[in-house]
Amino acid sequence: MDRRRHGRYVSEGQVQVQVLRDVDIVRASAREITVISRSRAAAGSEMRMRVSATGGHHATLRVRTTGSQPQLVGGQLRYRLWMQVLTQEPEMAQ
Amino acid sequence: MSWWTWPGLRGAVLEEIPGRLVDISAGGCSVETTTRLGLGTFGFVEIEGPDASLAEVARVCSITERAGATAPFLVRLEFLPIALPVQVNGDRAPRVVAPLAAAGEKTGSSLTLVRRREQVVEAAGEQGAQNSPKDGAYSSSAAQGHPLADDLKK
Repeated sequence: MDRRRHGRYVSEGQVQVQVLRDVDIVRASAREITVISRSRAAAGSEMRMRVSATGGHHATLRVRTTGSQPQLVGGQLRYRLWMQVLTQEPEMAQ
Repeated sequence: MSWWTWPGLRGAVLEEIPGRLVDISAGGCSVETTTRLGLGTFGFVEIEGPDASLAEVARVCSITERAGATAPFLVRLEFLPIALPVQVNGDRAPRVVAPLAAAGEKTGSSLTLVRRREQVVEAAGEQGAQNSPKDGAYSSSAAQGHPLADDLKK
């Protein structure tokens, strides 16, 4: 169904935009994970991270950014983020 | 085997950016945010309003920067006709859409936007998203293979 053909209305309210950003994992351990990201993250910000690996392994982590540093990767501005692993969330059945 | 020892580890982060809904239609919405979003960024939108409560997969289609404003970014999002991945949305209870009845009277056929949310909840565990974003705003790890964000849509 093409919802763009439907009518239009105006409303107001609070919105939560959840944005997926792929990151390159540089180093990982049970307590910390270091990634290269296209976007910066404020120290203290918490987010959910999805990790996967060959063989179909995947896990969902709750992480907190502890540090951020801009750096050039292949001539592109990227950010090295240090994150603390807070919890590992249980996997949902698929 | 612990996750940090897996070979070929890839990752994707889900950032949660709060905003204020300015305008909404069947095909998308406009949101004021304090955080800059890249054009083409792909994500999920959850809207809580007095007469509407819904969640949609969306993509940023335009951004207006307003210098000096409290929320300096006016972001326009296009809703995409794909289902929310259960892995990402799994910890959120299905929303009660009864208050949307009033919105339905106002919107007419636009209520399909909301009814689809019910379908998503029912179907989330059975089928995945089939769409693929045109813009690679989040695909920085393409060199490692397909972006992990694609996995989340399966």
